[in-house]
Amino acid sequence: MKTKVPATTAAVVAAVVVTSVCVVSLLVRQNGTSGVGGPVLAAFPASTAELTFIDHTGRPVGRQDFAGRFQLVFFGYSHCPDVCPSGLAIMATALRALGDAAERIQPVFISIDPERDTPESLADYVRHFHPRLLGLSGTPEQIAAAAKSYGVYYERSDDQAEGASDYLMAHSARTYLVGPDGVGIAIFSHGSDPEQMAAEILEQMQSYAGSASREDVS
Amino acid sequence: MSVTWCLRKSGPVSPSRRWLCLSLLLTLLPVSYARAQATTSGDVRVERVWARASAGTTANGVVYLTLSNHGERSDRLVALITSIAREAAIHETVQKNGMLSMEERGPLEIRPGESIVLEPSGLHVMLMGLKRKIEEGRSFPLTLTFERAGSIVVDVVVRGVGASGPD
Repeated sequence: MKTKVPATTAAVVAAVVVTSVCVVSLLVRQNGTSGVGGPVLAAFPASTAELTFIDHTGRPVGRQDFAGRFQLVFFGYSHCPDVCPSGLAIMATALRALGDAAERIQPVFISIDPERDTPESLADYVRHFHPRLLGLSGTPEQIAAAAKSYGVYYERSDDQAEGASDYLMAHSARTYLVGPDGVGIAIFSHGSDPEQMAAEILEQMQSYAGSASREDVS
Repeated sequence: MSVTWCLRKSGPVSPSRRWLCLSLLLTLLPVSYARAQATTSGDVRVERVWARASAGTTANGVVYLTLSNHGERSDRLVALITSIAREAAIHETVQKNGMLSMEERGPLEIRPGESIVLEPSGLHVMLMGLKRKIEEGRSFPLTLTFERAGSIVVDVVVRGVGASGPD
């Protein structure tokens, strides 16, 4: 009997250790997908109000088109096979999680590849992710100005270019929440959890509404 | 056996047999599906193979999958071939200077007992020069060639554009 007790204890300890290791490795994995995941929220100061674009229907777009609406913005390109569909899928899931509150948000996809992303090709792209997703392209100058005010970097990955048409782009892949006044409110890093993103967006929208009504009173 | 029993037309089909056949079919479906998802050659196993449907006019696509080595020696994934694209290669999405970009990662080494997960925003099979669109619901073959385990042909299941996994 006495020899059996340590054996059982050892088995229990081993089981606990194995379970803990599994749980810890699971948590580490969920929080660190290739080093690009994990939600980050920070303010960015630039105003986006003066930016102009061409949307996926060929219509010019400016500040008046977003008046009074929040924007959820992702920069990418339609030939992007891995990162952009993931980012837009996260955005769409977050919008679904927001329910009715999502109606006050205009989801926006801004192309950093205006050479290939014509209004027609963007129209065929954005519809796959969200029915209200607005695809924006423009002249290289318009896109450069937009990227600058958001602090987005992008460049053509020439080492992978083989033909003229199927080159890849390197680009920032964060998601931005912009207020109705065109001023940035929050940044989410690529790979953020959609539920957490939705909760943060809701909180930011509520605090924005609160500060706006206080300004009206004073 | 059960299939012929179910399909046999002679004689009236009792409602109980109809229900039994239906439930039999429903039970068998996920099993054969799961089998199609995991393919083994030698010590290497390939499973959870899926691709995202093409959105727009792109000539690029991706395949995600899980590789595992159940043997006692390392193996290397040395070649990828698919009829749907001009070229297939292992790429990894990496972050550099505030930008995400892709770097080639082949040949991919799988150590004994190791599993490598290819998933969105990480490692993936990059398809370049698609010959046709990757369409949701359709599948296409992908051949993975390993130094030791040889070639494995898997069926790539196509999920929606907004999918984040094979399920």
